[in-house]
Amino acid sequence: MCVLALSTLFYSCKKFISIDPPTTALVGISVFSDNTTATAAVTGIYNRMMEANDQASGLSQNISTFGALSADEFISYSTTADLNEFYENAISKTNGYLTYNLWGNLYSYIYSANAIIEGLSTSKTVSDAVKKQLTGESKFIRAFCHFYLLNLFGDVPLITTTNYQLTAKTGRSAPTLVYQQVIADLKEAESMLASDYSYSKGERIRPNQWAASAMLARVYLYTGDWANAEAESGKLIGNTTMFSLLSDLNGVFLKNSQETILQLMPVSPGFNTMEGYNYILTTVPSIVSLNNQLLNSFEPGDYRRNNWIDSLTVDAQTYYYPFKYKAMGGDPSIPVTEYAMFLRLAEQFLIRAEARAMQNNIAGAQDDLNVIRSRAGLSSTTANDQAALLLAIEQERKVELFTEWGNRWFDLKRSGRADIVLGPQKPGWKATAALYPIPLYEIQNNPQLSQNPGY
Amino acid sequence: MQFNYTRIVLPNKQHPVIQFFLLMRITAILLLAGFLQVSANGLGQERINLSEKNASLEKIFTAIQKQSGYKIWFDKDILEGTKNMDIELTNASLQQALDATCREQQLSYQIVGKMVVIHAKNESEKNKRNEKINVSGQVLNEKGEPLAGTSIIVRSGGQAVETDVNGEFFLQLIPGDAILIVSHVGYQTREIMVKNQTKLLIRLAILSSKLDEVQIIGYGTTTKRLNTGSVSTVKAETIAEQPVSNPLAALEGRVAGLDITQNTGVPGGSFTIQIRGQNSIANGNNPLYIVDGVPFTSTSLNSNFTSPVIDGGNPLNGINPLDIESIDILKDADATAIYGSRGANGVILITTKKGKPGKTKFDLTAYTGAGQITRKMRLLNTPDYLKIRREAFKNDGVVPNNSTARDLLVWDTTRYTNWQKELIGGTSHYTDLEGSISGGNINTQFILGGGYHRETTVFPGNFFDQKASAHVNINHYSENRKFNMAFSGFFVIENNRLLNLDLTNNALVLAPDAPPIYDSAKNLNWQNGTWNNPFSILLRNYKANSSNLVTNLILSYEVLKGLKLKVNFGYNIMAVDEMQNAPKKSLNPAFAAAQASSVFANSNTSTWIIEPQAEYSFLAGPGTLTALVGGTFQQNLLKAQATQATGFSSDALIENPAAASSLNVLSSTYSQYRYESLFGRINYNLFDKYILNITSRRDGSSRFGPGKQFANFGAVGAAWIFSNENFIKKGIPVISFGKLRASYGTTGNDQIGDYGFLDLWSPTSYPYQDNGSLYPTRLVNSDYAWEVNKKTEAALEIGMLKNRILFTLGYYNNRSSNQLVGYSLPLITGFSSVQANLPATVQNTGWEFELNTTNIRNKHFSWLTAINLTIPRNELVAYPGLEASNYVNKYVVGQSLYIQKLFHNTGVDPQTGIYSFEDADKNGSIDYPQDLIAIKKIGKDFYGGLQNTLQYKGWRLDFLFQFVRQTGLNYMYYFAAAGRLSNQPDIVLSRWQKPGDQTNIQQFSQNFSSPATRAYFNNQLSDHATGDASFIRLKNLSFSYQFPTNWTGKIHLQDCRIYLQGQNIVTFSNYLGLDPENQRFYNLPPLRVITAGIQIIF
Repeated sequence: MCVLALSTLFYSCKKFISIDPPTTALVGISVFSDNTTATAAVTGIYNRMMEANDQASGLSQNISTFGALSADEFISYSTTADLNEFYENAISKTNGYLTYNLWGNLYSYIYSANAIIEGLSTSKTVSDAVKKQLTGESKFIRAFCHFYLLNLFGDVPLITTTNYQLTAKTGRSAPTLVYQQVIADLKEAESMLASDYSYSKGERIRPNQWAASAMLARVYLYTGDWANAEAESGKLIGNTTMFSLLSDLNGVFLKNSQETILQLMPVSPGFNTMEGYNYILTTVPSIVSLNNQLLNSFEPGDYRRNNWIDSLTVDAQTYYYPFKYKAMGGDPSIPVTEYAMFLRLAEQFLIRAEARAMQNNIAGAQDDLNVIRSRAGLSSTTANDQAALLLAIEQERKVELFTEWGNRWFDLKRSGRADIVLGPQKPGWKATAALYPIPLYEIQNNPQLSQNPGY
Repeated sequence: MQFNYTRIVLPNKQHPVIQFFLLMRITAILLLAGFLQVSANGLGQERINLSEKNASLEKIFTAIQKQSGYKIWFDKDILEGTKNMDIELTNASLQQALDATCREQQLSYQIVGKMVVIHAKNESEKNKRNEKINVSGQVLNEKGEPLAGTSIIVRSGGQAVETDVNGEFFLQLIPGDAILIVSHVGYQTREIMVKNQTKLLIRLAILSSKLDEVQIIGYGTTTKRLNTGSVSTVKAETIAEQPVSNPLAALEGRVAGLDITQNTGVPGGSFTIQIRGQNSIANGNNPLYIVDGVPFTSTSLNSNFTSPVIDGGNPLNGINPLDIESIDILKDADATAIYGSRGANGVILITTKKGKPGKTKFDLTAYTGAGQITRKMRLLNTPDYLKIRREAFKNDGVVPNNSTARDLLVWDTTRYTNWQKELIGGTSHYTDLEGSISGGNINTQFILGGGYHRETTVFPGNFFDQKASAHVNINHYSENRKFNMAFSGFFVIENNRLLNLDLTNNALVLAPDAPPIYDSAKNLNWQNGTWNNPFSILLRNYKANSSNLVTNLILSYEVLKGLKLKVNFGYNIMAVDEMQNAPKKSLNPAFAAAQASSVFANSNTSTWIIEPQAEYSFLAGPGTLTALVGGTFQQNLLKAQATQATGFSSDALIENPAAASSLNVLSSTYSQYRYESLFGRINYNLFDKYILNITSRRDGSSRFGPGKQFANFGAVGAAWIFSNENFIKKGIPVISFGKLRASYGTTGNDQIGDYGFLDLWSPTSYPYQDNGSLYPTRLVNSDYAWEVNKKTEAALEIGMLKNRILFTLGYYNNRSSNQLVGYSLPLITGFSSVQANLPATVQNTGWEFELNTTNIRNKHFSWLTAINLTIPRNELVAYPGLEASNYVNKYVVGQSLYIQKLFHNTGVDPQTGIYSFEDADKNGSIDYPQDLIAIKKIGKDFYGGLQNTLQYKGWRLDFLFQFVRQTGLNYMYYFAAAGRLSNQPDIVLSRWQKPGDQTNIQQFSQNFSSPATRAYFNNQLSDHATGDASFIRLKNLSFSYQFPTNWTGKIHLQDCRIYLQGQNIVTFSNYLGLDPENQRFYNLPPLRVITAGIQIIF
């Protein structure tokens, strides 16, 4: 009996049960052993951003929609409380879109970016050029995600590792710390990334050095570093061989347009952008339509009013919708014509205008502003002092960048004018609504996290 | 009278093993006293009191045997010619009693240990000379036919032979006083005293007692009498009485502790099966299936993307029930610990039929029959339906228009269609043919069988499921019986042709005034796109071709006496090829953009297993010790893929993926599982009274990360057969069998999926710029380990009145801890959870009761009854961190895992006519999850079956009532709000109509935003949507007639039997829904099937 017991206990043959990984997936270490698979890990992030339920793809649960609802661009028709709460500026901390589509997805991209940075740092087989490009892209993504988290939620956890034992206990960081990391990441990305689009076959669908500069210009502007904001946006504006404003407004959102700094490519077969699919009305709106306030703020004769906004009349009621993206998609036999716009040159002119105005370079600011106005068929600005110019730039950003990536929402918060502008328009407005609540799920699972005021 | 005695042993009170057992005996006596309140007066008493007039010797010996506790052994033959006598004994010793009895007769006796042997006087003299003689003989069964393959062992001499085809045997030079042990499976073992006879004619009686039937256990066999574990068996005979195509269906209601639900009445459909409750919170709760020694998959190979109509299917559809000899359900630690890491949820052993020596036998069976659904719901007729719709619009203050009320304004409101009758009210047809050839001699036996089964559906249209099967088993012994080879294999191909969706839900919710199915031109009528014609679904196909091959080879050799080396090789391959489509012609033309599409899926799994074993059985001290040691090497491979195809130029090409303009891979799976172990078992049997069984297993599995791959499992089981104690024999002679058994041990659950410990990146659904992309699948924690299930069981088994009453009462307590669950993490980690072991504990306890009675048994008539009852209880004992986990709204510590957390419906407000709910947090609104305060167990309180078998001459009637007491989700959970465009059960007519009405059905509403509709949504999640789903069902009925042998003999048939069989004949239930068993509204209920058949053996 003893012999049996002992042999039973000490019996072990590890070799037999050590199996190879499955043929349908890759183990982390082999992902970063090869240029192609390592690249696939990076494009996997863009792929997921463009999948239907992710926050960047333009379905009803994305930053553009949330931002436009929270500000004064969209009216909600949704019967889903999760979406309506953004419109009512009364987001519950258990809101599923907030928790998973926004917060959760942004952090999952950060996880992937960190995993790629870590994987590449120890890889000996991925070529140096590819390693540099991919590390740069990952840093860009990490910065991009932290930027949005910070501007939507206020102080947020800064995550730069994949170790869940550490990250699960990470508390909120002060905005200066987060911005410090964002700027550092973007600067590194700027230095590592290619200066053209050759690595993506000429298509503008993966970030390069210029995308890093464009993001950096925006971050400097948001942090009040006017000189650097002017310098970074100036780099893009100066690269006229690569980037220029299109005189035809209907061409701006076409794939790889000359105005594009960064677009992502739709991935669901037969579909163009989800913005096109969801915003364009063919019947009574079920998600959103444009707010009259926005419609009324266009100056007469503004080309953008006619080219980027369209309407549908049902039972004598007219509904307006953004018409920047013109393809609805849904038919696999029609080729894709539009990509989702992430960064474009027009914003850089407005960034430089604002940075110059802040530095009291009135003429320079007017010049940049007028570039945008003249393309829209408008006369030169009449604003000629700093205060008036800043308001004029805010107005120009409103009509140029509407329903894109929450620009309006962030502008109102940045300028401190959210209460003044939104207070009278939105019945449920409270000053604390400027920050979204930290999801309850997060606080329950991480005692280090605190809630924003007002929730 | 037969004495069934197998071993003579001389107790030696000094032996330490005996001392141990004595200690155990005292403990057990104390336990038994609680059950039976036995007084200990009988202990040690050997005084005999007897007063008989004109009594036969047989009767006197029986009386002496009972009182003395000594086994009195005699051959009936020697009593022939003895006289009846009067006897008067007071406080006599055994010796005095025997002297008094034998003196008058020509008999003498001999006391050997605890046994008395009666001799004829003259023979006993001869025996003393101890001559060696040659003995030949023949063994016959109860019908006088020769019994081939009967083993004959000479006690003390050790010689052993088997009878040949003619039942004959020959023994050379054995002592003239030898005792022969004559045994044959299924017959009572006899001990024959040779008494210098050289010619013996031995008759064996068929085993009437279930106690001595062979009981299959893990890696061996025992009998119910000697088993230390909890095992239930369903035999071929029972399976054959049921016209089912999945063996699981034949087990329903028959086994205590086994909970089986047939989820759908569609052929090839799925089953839910649990042995003794849910043990694992997040992982598999399937039992381990072993078919002829080969592990068999418990999860379906059918793809989720293609097989909704069969609810995902069930792999056991790939086994022909009529090829099965027995199904053994292993439940406690003693029985399952030998399966180590896979035994936590119990084990089901399936053994296929084997040939028997004797005349070559041809067995043909054919049956045919018809099936219909068991129950229909009482739904509204058109006038009532229109009334509720109009009332709903009125209540909402809305004027109906063509788009909101097409059933009122567009459709012909004089129409009435009984959609249940139209869509699921058809009759399905069954055809089954089985044939086998079996036979062989003592050394080689074989069976070769084939079967064909076809069943159609109750849906309109030509849909069917057909299966063909082949089965072979060859068993061979070498001439010296030391080498044995057993090969078994079966192959089943299944061809399932169905529609792609179950029509049950359509049958329940379609408006009774819905438009006609066909227009005047006999085309599908879409009524201008105002409805989805359910007959369009009949144009959508589901086709599945499956094949299943199971083969097994066992080689064994008896190296030394009692030492057997054995190796088992098994291989199983199962493949499923499926296609599901929706052609353009089946799509509503109102949606012009809708495209024809198909989904193609295929999957296959293969398993091989090699299990070398050694078994050694020997006399150790006063008892018998059997030791088993063995190992397992096993591999499973699974490959599966599902692809969606769209963009067909024509419906005619829809089954050809190459004709599609767009293909999208929905899933692609590959997994490998390797498993190895070393196991051992020691069984010690002392006097057939005390049995100790120890098992252990060390398992390694590829499903766990480095350092966590190996674990040890083990169990100890003990049984005390107290009926073999003198004090019971004498004190409570009514008890013919009594056993107390208990077991404790651990088993594991590794049903967690493969590769969980690896840091895997999976491909995204679509490429990015023509190149595939990858994303991280999960956070990696390679530190997790097995879920451990600690099982404890105690049971009392009693046989009374010569085992005419047999009952078992068992109590079990299984605690499953170290639960592998997703440990919740904040999303900032990138994921919401990581696979980890939590100290969460799930406990399953329960009482199991089984009673078998022989109510009447005489020459022509017998009546047997079997009852089983299970009272299970499930409890989540601990779950640290439940509040912050994904399970917070699902489970409560201290409650069952079967609960749902619901709103508490406080009735219909008589003023507003709307459901009201308890506002637990008093904040003025009913909020999810804060107001989920009603906790309801959606599960079984108890369940069981009552089986009766009546036999009169060739007539036989079997029927089984299944009973279940349970709570389920009723129609309110599934049906749309009353007032919307959906039919309703007629009970909604008792709704609230005006202020002051007292009712439990709220007012009708058709508006999504009305207060009544909001209350309806809350009501779906409330205790009002739960209710009694208990039922009693005449589950099975079998009526057969066996033609008398003198009649069948004339036409050279060995046997001929005709029968009528039925399944789910009658159901009694108050359930507010379709069928209380499956409680589904999207699945067809199990069918009532009635068949007629014939079996011929020649």
